[in-house]
Amino acid sequence: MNNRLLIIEDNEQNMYLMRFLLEKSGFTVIGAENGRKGIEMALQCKPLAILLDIQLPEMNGYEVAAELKNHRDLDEAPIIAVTSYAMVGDREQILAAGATGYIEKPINPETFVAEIIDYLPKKQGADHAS
Amino acid sequence: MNNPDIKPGLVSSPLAILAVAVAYAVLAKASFLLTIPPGNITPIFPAAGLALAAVVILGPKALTGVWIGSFVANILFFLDGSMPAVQAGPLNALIGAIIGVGAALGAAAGAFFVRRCCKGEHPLQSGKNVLLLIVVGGFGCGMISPTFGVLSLIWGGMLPWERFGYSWGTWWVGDAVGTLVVAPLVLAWQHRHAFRTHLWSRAEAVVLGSATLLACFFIFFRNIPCGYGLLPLILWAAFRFGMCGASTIGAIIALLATIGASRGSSPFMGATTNESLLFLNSFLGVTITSALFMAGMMEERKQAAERMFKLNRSLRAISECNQALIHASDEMALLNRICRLVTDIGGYRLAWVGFAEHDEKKSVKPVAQAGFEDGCLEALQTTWADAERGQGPIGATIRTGQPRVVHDISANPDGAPGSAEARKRGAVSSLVLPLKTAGRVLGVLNIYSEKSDDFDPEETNLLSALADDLTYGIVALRTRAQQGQAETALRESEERLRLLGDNLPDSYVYQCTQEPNGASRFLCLSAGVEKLHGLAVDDVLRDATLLRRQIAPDLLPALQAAEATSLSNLTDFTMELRMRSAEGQWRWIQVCSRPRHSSAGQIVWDGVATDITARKQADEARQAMEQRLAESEREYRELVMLANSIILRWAPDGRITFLNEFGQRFFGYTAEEICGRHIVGSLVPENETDGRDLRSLIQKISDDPQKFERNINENMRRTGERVWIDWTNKVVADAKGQIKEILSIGSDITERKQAEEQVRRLNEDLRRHAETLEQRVAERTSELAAINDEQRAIFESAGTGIVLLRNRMIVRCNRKLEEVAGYGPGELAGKSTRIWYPDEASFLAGGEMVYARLATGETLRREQQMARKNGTLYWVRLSLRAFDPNDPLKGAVGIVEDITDEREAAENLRQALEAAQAADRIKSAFLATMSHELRTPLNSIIGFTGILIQGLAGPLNPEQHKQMSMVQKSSRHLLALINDVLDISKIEAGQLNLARAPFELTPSIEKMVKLITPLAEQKGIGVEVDIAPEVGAIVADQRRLEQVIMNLLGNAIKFTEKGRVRVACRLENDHYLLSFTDTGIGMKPEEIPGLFQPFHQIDSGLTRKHEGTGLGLSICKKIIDLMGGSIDVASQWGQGSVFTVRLPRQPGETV
Repeated sequence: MNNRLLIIEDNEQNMYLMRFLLEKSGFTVIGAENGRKGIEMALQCKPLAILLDIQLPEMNGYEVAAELKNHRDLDEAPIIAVTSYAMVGDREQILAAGATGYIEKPINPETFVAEIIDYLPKKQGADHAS
Repeated sequence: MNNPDIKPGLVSSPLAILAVAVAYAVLAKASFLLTIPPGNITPIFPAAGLALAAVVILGPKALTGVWIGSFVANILFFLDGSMPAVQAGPLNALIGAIIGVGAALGAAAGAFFVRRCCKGEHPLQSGKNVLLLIVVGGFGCGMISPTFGVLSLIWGGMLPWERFGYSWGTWWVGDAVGTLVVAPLVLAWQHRHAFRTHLWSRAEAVVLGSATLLACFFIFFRNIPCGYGLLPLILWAAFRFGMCGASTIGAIIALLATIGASRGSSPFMGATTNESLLFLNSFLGVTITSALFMAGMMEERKQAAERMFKLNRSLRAISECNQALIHASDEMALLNRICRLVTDIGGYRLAWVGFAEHDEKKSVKPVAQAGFEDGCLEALQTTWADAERGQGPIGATIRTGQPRVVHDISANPDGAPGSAEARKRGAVSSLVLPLKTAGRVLGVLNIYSEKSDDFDPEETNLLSALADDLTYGIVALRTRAQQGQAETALRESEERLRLLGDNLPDSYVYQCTQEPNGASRFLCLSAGVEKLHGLAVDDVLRDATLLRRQIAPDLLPALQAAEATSLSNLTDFTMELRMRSAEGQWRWIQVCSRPRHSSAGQIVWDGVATDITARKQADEARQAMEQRLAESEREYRELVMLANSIILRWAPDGRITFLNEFGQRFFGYTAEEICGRHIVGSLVPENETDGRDLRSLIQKISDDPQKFERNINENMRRTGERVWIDWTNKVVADAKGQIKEILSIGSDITERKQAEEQVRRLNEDLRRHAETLEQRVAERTSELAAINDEQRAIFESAGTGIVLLRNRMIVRCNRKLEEVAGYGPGELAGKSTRIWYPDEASFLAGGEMVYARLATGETLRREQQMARKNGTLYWVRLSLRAFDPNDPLKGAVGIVEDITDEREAAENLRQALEAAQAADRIKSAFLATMSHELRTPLNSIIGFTGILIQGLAGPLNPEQHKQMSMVQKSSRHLLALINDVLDISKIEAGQLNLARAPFELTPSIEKMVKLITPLAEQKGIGVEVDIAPEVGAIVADQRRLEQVIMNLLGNAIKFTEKGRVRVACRLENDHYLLSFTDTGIGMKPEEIPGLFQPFHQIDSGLTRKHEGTGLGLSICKKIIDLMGGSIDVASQWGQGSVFTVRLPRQPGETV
């Protein structure tokens, strides 16, 4: 069963935080610190879902989301934006770019994993939750 | 060796016969003497041998001699009385005659058969022949004579029949041996020159002879019985002295033996005569036969060796000659060398070559020789004409083309004079060989030999072959020489051609052919191609397309067609081609070529290409000129013929020479009628209507046409009608400059003249009218002056600028305008409106726009910048209206207001607005960044503390847990503060853009209630929800609204210690009313106004307890206001509060 999650995040601490929480919950986490690498890894490893920061170096989150949507090998892997961008319109923009979900930073460490699972394709999510 | 030819020694036949007869008789008589006792038998009969030899040598005529000799001998014998039984008488004569016949016949037969058997060779030529001679001639045919003889004797009774056999036998043997001894002797000595190859050692001969005599003496006279000891001597004679020697020795022996036998002292004496005869004859027969046979063999061998030698020599000579032929390069040298080889190596005595000349004399010209002195042969003047002098072998050979042999040139003195010279030098025989080729005889090769028998058929064939080779060689040399000459001539010719071709000024010669694939290839090209086309000869030879590409493309199809025609019909090819040289110049090249079949069977064209550009250009120029000329002529003709003017030509004497068609029609004459007539009286009347003398005028014009170049006079139509014509007169001069003709071109101005008259009349009328008008005008003017004064008053008193415009000129303006524009009084009047535009462009632009609007009839109201007198610009509000919209320029009135101050104020305002907006943008950027930046570290803080508290990173002890919780609470508080501050900032900056989407209000309210329930339960407070059924969707920002609900709910619960909180929602007037009622501590009235202010706290102590940021309500109010709603509060101190939120169901336009 696929329990790989890809996190595309350039801030080391944020990455560590999310990785810690998710791995504690039994997921396998693969990380990429920029959009390019993230896309490569996504294509290579076919994760269950992709957690995507918006503010990334070189290629911003919107572009990454759009490109990930283009590579439709990753058919069902939802893209979950995890970002501190809270200006009006940011949410809509990223959802329009192809993200399935949107989690605001700072994350709530108690509910973060549950929120992620919520966004996962239901079957596996259910398996995992139990 | 051929048949023995006629010997020139024996002159004539009768003498020969006589000689033979005498010899025969003598020998016969002599032999009768030598009889063997006791029977008186003649052991040998030498006469038979002589007879045979004579017939062989002399031929049939000798037979007569033989017969006579035999007859005479017999008669003498009978008369002798030696035979006692014989009686003299006429019978004896007959018998003698018969015996003679027999002898003759025997000789004849013998000779015949010998000739036959020897097949043309000499009887003593070879051993075989010798035997044949002896056996056939001697023994065989020797039977005839005895037969005749004995039979006749018996018939004559001189001999008994029983002695037939014996007599016949002895006669036969005697005849045979006699033949054996004598015939070879005679034949050998007769032919001794042919046997002359032996070494005639006289001494040896003497020794041999002596030895023989001595031996014979002892054997035959002293009776020493070693008869066969003579054999070695005979063999010696045979080996060393050949046929002559052998036969001589044989004869001597025979003689001496017979003499001995007749004396009775020979060793051959036998018991009976028969025996003796037999012994003797057998001895003689054996020895002499052997000797002769041996000699014959020797002879044969020597002949063979000689032949071999001669053959060798000839072959070597021929070989050398062939070598000479192969290496020959010069004809004369070759011929001389051949002659030399023939004489030196061939072993001949002399040789010369002569050519048959075809001149009058048909002489034979000696061209080479060996053995003669210089000039000797030329002096001979040999000829081959068929005349007396040309009958020799040379002439014959030339005429017939066959070789001629003369075995003995001395025997034929009337032969070639050359032979005499040759003979002087020791030549004996001559061979003339023709030098013939292809049926024609060029000349002869004449070879002389010292021997008489050198030119046998074999030799002649060999030498003929040599002559043929020589002829071949001569022909080959001549051909080569000719070829060489031809080649030289060809080279020279080619060189000439090349020089010619290369030096042609504007042409070049070429030779080309067509490849099987249709492409052209040049076989040769002269240097002119470089000059004309700029291409190197070698390049074009290699690749003909270089030249072809220079041809103008449009000509290529025609070219190919012409080439094809020339090829198929083998006709000349001529074409003019336009070609572009390598330097880029265009030229016209004329190409002419003629096809022919080359020696290789291809078709080649020999041609010349010439640059005819100059000619073409000249042609073109000429053509153009001709065309122009033709056109010009045509134009002239057209002009003249179709002109709408009268064109007239007349001679100085007044005669009309030409009138154009128009003129003819105008005046009413035809060409035939008018030409030749005097101008006055036909076209020109004597006098004009008002009297001017026209005849003298015409005279004056013809005298000096220059003066009257333009002239108007009256003319006359055929009908007599008068017309006025405006004439232009021009002189046409001849080559010498004399006036040849006057060319007059005239236009009919009759109408014009009439019009002028009319005008004059009208002018008169006008003058009269003008006077009346002037009066009226004066009256009107004074009225107008009064009106003007009134106008002026209004003008000057106005408070704004007023201006009157006409055609963009300031007619009048009031003082106010002048002041505004900075001009002094009266300065603007009369000026163009340009004066108050800052520049030309704006003047033009303004004018266009303004007058367009004025033309619509409207009043133009416009603010624009104008220029004062000092150049400064100021803003005015302009109102302009035209008096007549149809012609706005005619007159317009304008009101000009100075709005400088207004503008300034507006400008300031605009700048302030821009600054404010800029500040706003900066604020937005700041907020965006801050919101992101502030949250990021909080993520770590909240996140990791959360992890630690959850024990995910390991267990915490209670104290750690407690302290961590405090950190967590603080960080949450911080986050809340940040969020709120950002919210406020956004709201203050007007950055809070509310989303607008429809959503169900009920679930939102319920969701918020659910979230707040744990807190409520904790405090023991109940939460009631009362949502009216008609509450459905709302179009607003869901998040923000939920935030507000949450806040109010939270506040309600926070400020209530006990009791309940109630949330109600109902719809009223398309607005939702949300009320939040609590039973808390309530508020005092004076606290209410500041409630929605930021950082307002009703009770700081309490608030700290309640963990608020103090921003909540102000944010809520702002949000609700932005949504287009309102928020109210009603409260009782100590009782509780009710917060009411009123929201439109759908936001209005201005949210």
